[in-house]
Amino acid sequence: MDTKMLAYIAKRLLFSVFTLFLIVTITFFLMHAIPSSPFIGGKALTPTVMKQLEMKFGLDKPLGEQYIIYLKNTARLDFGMSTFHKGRKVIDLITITFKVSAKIGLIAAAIALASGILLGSLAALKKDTIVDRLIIVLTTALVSLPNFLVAIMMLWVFSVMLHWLPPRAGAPGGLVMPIVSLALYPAAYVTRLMRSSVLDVLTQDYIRTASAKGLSTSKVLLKHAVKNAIIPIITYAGPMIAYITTGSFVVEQIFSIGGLGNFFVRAIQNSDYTMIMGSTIYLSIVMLSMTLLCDILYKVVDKRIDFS
Amino acid sequence: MNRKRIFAALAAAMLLFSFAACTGGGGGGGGSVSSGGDQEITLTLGSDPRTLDPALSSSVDGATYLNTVFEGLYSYEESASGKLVIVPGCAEAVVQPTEIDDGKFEYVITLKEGLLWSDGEPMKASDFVYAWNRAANPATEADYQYIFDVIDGYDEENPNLNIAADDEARTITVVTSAYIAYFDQLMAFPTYFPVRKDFVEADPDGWSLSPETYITNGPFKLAEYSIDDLSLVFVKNDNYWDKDAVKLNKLTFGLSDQDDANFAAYEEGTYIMLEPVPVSQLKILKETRLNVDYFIRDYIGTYFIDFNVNASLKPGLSTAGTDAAAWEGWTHAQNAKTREALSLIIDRAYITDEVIGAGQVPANGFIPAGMADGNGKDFRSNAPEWWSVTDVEGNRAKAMEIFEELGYTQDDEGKLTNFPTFVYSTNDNSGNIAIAEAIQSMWKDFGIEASIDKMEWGVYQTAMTNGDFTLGRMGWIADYDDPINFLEIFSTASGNNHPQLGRSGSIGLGSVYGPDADQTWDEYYQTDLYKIKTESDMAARADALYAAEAKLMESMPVVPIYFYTRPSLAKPELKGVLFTPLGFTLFKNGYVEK
Repeated sequence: MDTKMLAYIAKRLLFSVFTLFLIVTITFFLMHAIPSSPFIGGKALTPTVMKQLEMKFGLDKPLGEQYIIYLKNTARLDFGMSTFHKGRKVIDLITITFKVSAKIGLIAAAIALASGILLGSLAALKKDTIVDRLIIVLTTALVSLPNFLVAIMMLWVFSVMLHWLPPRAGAPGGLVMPIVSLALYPAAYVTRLMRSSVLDVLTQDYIRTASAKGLSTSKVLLKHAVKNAIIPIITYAGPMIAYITTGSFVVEQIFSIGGLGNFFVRAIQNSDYTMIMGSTIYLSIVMLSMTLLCDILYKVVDKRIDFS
Repeated sequence: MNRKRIFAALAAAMLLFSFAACTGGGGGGGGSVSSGGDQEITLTLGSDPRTLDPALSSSVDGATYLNTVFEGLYSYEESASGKLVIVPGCAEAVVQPTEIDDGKFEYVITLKEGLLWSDGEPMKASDFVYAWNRAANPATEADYQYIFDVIDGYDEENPNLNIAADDEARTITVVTSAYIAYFDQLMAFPTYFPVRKDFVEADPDGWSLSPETYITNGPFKLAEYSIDDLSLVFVKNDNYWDKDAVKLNKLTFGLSDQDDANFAAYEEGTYIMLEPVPVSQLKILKETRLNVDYFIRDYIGTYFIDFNVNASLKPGLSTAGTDAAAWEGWTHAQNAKTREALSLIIDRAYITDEVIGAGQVPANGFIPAGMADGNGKDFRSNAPEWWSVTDVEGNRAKAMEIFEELGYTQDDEGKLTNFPTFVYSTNDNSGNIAIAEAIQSMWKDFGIEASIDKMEWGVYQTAMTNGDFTLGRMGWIADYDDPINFLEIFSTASGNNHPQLGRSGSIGLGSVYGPDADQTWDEYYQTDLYKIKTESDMAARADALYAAEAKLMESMPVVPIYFYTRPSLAKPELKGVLFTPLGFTLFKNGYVEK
């Protein structure tokens, strides 16, 4: 690795930390701007109990002081106790649920990438044939269908009507439908992206040169075309993987999966202050790291990208 | 390798990978078939309960879970006539209190012999005393702290409950501050359940989260509480004194509130029971499957609109206001009459039948149907019908007369021309919004313009508590079967006194109540509450209950809309389960019929 690259990474890291600091600060002040208390919602508490709760969560202190404490704790990834789920630490909730989301998300992302690259290349090579048309129609349909609809349709068809797959993710075989519903959209998107990218690359001079040199079609494809065509996929893959592994609220809700997406949205519904702040920061960290990782990957794949 | 081969190889690898991935992930439990011959059931009551700690829980689903794993001194059973009755739980018998000095009453309750906790340790009388002191202590932060206010020595900040245990004699002595007609029910209430001091003190926050530390004394015990799998599993407790009556071996609760998913899992057969039933299914289920596997069960509760009594609706105002100018030349009594007329315009049967359709009962008073008056009668059937729920036209004609008397003017089409506009607040739940829109359009037909303000639940609650609203919807489900539980909402100090009765504001604190408009809310209403809470003669107490409701209906800080029902899906093979009208469910005697 050259020094230019190291300098670039260091710069990007610093920038990420600064972005994170901004997110942390904005989240804190936005949460405190909400005209409500996390302890209002269910039963009307006695004033004494209310006071006690505010003291426990430090909400009785001046805002500035709360902010400093919060920054200190956040730096240690200590998000405190959930204000809703009594007795649970926010960081525990996040790590348990993130594992679930990440597992399903990574599988779905891998399937999406593999099938997208494969089908996209196929469509490009078979341009204007029936195969290409079929792939285009199918991917257009999948990109326009919202995934909650796909998920619910699958649930009714494969679970309620055909009894092939269980409706809850916890049962054996229960992850098939959530993974498929998560993978469909990115798979279709990657297919379309890959198709146009491969088509673009195939017209490039170096491909002609490679063919002219007498390389076999498969070698031209693998060594030159696909490798170069894949760059736009990497751009898309970073945020896609970050998004998909941090949990799709919709899919996790429909298939009863205890993932981070599900718990994050429920935290919002339940005014779970600490959980909202903790998961926002956690999600930001994942998102920022993925973006950083992708930017570095470009360099590895395409030496032409300049970091200076 | 030619192109075709590359694709074939890639495709095969992809398929293999996805197959391995999908089957590899299915290790978790949670999805067993509902109706096994092994007496194991899978069901759902919605999402993850906030807590399983009896001191902290305050939700209806929480009460079901707690009744599954705990047992109080008393418990509930269904009598032969289908009524919910109090029976001894951990106690040997249901006892009568004896009057001691100052109108206080003393209960001496003896525990059954040989009771055990789920880990096999013997239960002690002091376990109850510990649990009650803990829940009443503000440091515990119990939602239901105030439910101990009937015990002598209760104080919100520094409670010193007059309770004592004698572990040798297995007795618990409790002194109540007065005669409490519903104290038996409190002793069956989850906040009064016993807890294990050693485990609670070892981990005050986390003891109720894992089977190793969540030691209980009821028909079942916790086997698994899994956040990632969204399931809560209970198994039969072999140390329970009445274990021979318990037939179910395992209960798995799915923890999700996603309506479509839950309904699909019920239809598919994973769930044997589903509550709450998705709102979108209520009408079709009522038409096609009522009493087959869909049931509209009794539920003691009222859906109502709270009015802020400080908000003046004086004719000619552009918008309802709480400032002095808005009250100039306008009295509280006139404002109350206006609220009554607004109430009379509402077609409640339309709301219950067309807007919701879950068999709710149009309200004709505040105390809900199905509640006893503590003196042997059903309160609602014995109380006046404050307005007709069928003669909507008659009600509306009466409303227009009232409006005319009060100085509201009408145009040729019978629409009011000088009624102030106002805001109808609600939390942003689709059912509540639909009801708000229906009422809004009923009022609009008479020239009364209300706009709807939808708020997030927490924000909404804050606005209501602070009196920062003109009118807003609310609901109340009975904690126990006694009208005081509803009437008390409107005591001055109550946290649910959203109308701001007896509180500062343009009118709330004023001497504006009573027939001569010269009493404060405390003088007018609180006196009845006091009598209800202390009277030991049940007939006299019942009189005070009826009188208090009458005062509420005359002052109209609240417009009741309907009485709740409890829509419930349960497969016919599920038997023996007790669905109480208080909303929680008892699985002790439940079983699956093969």
